[in-house]
Amino acid sequence: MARIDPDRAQIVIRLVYDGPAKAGKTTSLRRLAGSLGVDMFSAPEEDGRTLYFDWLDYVGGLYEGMPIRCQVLSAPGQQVLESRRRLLLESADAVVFVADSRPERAGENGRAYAALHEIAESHEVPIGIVIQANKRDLPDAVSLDELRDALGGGFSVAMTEAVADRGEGVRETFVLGVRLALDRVRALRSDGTLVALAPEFENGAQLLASMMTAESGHAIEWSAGASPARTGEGAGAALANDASSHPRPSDASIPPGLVWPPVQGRAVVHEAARDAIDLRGDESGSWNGVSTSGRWTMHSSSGAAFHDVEHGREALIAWARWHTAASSRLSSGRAIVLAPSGEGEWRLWQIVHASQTLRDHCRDVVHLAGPAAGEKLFDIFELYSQAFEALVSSGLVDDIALDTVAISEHGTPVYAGHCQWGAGAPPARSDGDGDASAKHRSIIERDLLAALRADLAATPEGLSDLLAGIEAAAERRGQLHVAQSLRQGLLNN
Amino acid sequence: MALEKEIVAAFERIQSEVPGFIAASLVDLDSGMTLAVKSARPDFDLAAASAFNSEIVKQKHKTIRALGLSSILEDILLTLSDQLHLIKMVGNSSFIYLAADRATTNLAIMRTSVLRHGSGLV
Repeated sequence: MARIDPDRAQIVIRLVYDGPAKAGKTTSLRRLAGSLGVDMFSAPEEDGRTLYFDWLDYVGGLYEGMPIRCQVLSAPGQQVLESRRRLLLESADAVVFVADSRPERAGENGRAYAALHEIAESHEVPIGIVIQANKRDLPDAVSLDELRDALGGGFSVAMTEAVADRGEGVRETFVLGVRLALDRVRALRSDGTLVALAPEFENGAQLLASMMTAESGHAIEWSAGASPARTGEGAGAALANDASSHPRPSDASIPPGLVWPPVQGRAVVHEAARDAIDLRGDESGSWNGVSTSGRWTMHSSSGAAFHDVEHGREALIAWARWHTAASSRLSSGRAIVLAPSGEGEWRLWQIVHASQTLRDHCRDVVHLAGPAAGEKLFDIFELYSQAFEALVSSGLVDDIALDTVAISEHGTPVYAGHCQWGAGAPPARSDGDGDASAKHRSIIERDLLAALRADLAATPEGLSDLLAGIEAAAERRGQLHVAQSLRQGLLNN
Repeated sequence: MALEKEIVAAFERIQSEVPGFIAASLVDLDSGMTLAVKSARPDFDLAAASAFNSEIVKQKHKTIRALGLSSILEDILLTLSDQLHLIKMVGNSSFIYLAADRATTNLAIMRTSVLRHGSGLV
């Protein structure tokens, strides 16, 4: 974990290169060492496979006047060495995940990334992650989108392209990793958990000795006073609206303090900035944008413009608090950015990853056969009902639609749209009451019917199958009145 | 972002055009880390110079904000008794740092060369 070395007046950060075996971690470090002009320490290897780690130490750059000392390590990729890998990852401030671009490595990439993601998120201040898509020169390299999918929805993580064998993209990735680590340093500092202590290890040999001691059964103190959290078993360019007169939500170069959340927010902005953005203003003075890939949407309301950065920053902090309090009811992959509008003003932007919404699930319904279609439709019905209670009745948002409700990883409905600017403190989650349910039922049925009618227009032959599925599911769930409404609505189309 | 080797190639072109070339680097403003370097003098600590120059740029940005200006910082010229140092912003998040021998170089050539070869690096 990051610390201030009081003797040398340096900020010490640790970057760990992670990824599946033979993805190019050691090669990346070797190339980085060559590029930075430093030596690399390699703990014993076996047949060219890393058993412990590689290490390089580099002092460069400045953080608030203090030189930055980067301890850069690679973790072993073999699954049998998982405990060593975990120990190293727990101590990281940022991780460069070296992903293998070959299609046959998709599964290994996904498994390794899932474990890393769990560790990174388990910390109070999450560890920043940048994905280095490696081996991009191979003819069968998968696309970046496919690679991202293989990593299981790592949409809010920055991704760079590299050919580590040739050193291409390695240094750029490293510097982005340092930025993420410094974001974490700032967050630790504001939390009061950035400690002033000498580094726990001065070089790779010390770390190796310590790991060997630990594995021989003797406990080790990894970082007195600042132990790694939950050590576990082992211990584009600017978002590019081409019209120069338009405000822009900035890119990953946004200065620290102007993006929330501190670490993932920059990664979200970095990813969103990979696409061109179609930005449009409306009569009210608000701006809305959609990335060309459809992955990201952004919004800045008319009230979110400020004459100076300080007022903008105050609003950003208030807005960040609101989001933090409401986070369990909001979709993931969000960032709030304060960016210059190009007219001497500043604007707050919400950037939101396009989640799979209930509207998307509705589209699946007409392609399913019989009972499965009915079951899925009733699942959507129930989630939409819960969404009205959790999001609208509770006062979190004024209104929802099928395309602004997504399903969280816990299976609960979350708001996937842009939040209303100027909202006060988010109200506590409400379980709602029966009256509210009754009030919203007609809206729910109306929205569902509208969606189903639109989808059935393309495949009208699916209607009878869908009706049968609805009847079967309704009977099983004891919701015949809902089935009757839906049936009537579909037949009266 | 251009690749490191592309940036170095751009610096080599600058070196060939700028008499008295000492060193050049592309520097990440946030961290002060160098993204690419080219030096003609092994004794010139380019990493340290780049890092401290990032602080200069940050301070200048603060100055602009404190003055309530909506101006955009384009470049900074530092005149030493025997060297000229040119800092040229490249995008919002990085800058080119170029040092040359004052007795033999020419400021106009420095500026022109950096503009010609450096503006496409991000």
